[in-house]
Amino acid sequence: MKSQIYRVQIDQFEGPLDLLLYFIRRDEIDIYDIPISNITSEYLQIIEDMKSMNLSIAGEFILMAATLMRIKSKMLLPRPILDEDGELIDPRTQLVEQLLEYQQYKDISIELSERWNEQSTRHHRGLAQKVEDTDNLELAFKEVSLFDLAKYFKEAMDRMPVITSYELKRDSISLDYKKEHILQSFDGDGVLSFKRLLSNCKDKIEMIISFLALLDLIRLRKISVFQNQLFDSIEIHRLEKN
Amino acid sequence: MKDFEKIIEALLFASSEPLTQKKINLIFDNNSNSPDLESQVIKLNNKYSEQGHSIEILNLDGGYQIRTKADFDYYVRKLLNNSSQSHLSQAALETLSIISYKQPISKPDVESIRGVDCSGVLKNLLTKLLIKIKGRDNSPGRPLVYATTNEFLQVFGLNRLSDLPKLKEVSEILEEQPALTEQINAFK
Repeated sequence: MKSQIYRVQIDQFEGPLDLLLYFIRRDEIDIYDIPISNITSEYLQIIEDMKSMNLSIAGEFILMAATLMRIKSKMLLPRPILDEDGELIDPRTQLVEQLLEYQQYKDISIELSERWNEQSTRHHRGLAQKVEDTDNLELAFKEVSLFDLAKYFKEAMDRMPVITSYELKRDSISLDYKKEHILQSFDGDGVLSFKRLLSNCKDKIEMIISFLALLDLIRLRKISVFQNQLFDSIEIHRLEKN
Repeated sequence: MKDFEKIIEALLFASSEPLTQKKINLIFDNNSNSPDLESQVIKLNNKYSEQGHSIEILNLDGGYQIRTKADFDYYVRKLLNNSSQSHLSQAALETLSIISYKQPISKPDVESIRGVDCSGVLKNLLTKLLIKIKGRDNSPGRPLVYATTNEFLQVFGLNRLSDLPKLKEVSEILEEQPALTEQINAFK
């Protein structure tokens, strides 16, 4: 098996087209007469190898596999496909055109790469100091496109301080209601333990409101708070009876 | 004024971007007697090569710029604290090739030629200022279209886009790929 001899490193290819061009170069295949059957099976073998190595296969490789198989199946059809003029349609034509076009740009990219390497050895003057005050704006301004403006606008917006919104919940219990509630919670002797008051609270918010209500009632001189000794339980005494 | 050559030399020396005839005209207040940039550049370049200077004036991006010669790359690079030559990936170069010939071109069109997803590469080229967003296409979804920038011309040492190497004719590619029909038949 050919694919066993040539271990192809998939990541050295720019994509499925690059991989197919490699097969064509390696086997010196006539690009207008690609042996679809061989290419397809070798291509599928590589995808299988990738799977067995647990590599994630890019979608474009799967797409090409499907394309190759479709071409192969079309070529197996006994009835040839004809176009409007009665000319025979080669199912490979579209793929071949795609390969040739891609090859063109690959060639150009090599030229560009050489230019890049050559030019990057030739240095020029760095950015000059910006002239702050100038009468001649035409000399000072570079051409700015609409998309440049949009870009700078986005950058400016990104630099803005972030204001995160958060929800405010309306208090479920009002302070007045709680005050009334406390006043009605006293036993016959007019005494209420602080501990019991808090243990009746459902949540933290209610505890806080109870505490605020307590403070307010003290201010209004309706209750008084006592503690016999340090760390002893706190007792709330009712001062007046309405 | 007889010192045009020296004035042009000073302007070229001080300019961080390629100097154009348009700028020269502005500097000379659009006088009819403003110097011709190209002829002065030729004189200067002749002088530099005769006297064996380490600099040369190049025709870039529709203008002229003084650049050091490649022989002095090692030293200038050290001065600029730029020890390693930066590289463009194969993907970036392929994408640039396609954009430079087909601009303005949308992402889907670049991708259909390369056969792979190009989002990352395009982003990279945009941040390197080698390409820019030119506008929108009228095809479905109105995708953004990309074009090369002035920086692209400068970096690749091109005066204008038409200076790019010609796209190889299909037949030329085929000549480099000898058709070995017998071998193909053997495969079948």
